[in-house]
Amino acid sequence: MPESMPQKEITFLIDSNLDNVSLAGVAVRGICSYLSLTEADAYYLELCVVEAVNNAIKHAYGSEAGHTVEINIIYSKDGITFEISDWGEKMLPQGLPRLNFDAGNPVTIPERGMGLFIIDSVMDKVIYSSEGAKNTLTMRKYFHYKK
Amino acid sequence: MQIESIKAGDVLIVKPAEKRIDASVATEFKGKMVDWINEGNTKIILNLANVDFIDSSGLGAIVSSLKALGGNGDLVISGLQETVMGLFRLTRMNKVFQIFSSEQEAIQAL
Repeated sequence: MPESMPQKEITFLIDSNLDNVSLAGVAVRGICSYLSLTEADAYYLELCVVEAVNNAIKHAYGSEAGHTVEINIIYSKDGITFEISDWGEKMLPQGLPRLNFDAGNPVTIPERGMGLFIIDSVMDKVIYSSEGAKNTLTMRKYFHYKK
Repeated sequence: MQIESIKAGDVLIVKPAEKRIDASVATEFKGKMVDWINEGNTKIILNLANVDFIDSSGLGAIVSSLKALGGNGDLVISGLQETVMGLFRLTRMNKVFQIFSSEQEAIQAL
């Protein structure tokens, strides 16, 4: 991103239907392309937003269409923040997401529950908060990687 | 969801025609894979050359397909795009599945 670019922000809403999630993903990919991020980084950021929106639809709204998921994206010189909000069931407190399995033993390999692990692995900061009826998952990625 | 399927001897080659395997199609994808397995296919190559995005639901559906084989046969992957390979590495699924750069290599290995 050019050094002189000021902080910018975009908010968009989708209905809580899994068929709409790819639109949010493609929008994130477009913004990443505008910011000249690598293909790999763009994929990971799109993936995290898709996982967060999927979680909102499946868990906050019980996969019921007709509810709003808000996606707010703020970028600055230092990094990019994604805020995914819903007005459904609150997420129960969870420990650090882990992905433990024995690759040689198919029974132990997870088929679900990988979304939060992916988000936690990719993002530099992840915060879940509720204010009134609104629940927000805030995910922050710095342009200078921590690793 | 459009998926091409071709038999090469006793190997079934499955190639999704769409760019995304995500939560909106994961159940349908898994259903088709399980149908092919229930028809007696035990050597399966999943060619993901057309796929540029997989989320955890799509990945879970691929794992479910492997489990549906019940240890009787193998499901291997070919044609992974580099970005999608990143997801396999992040989740260590590259240790679960044999991954080949081409369909031909996968056929020879099976």
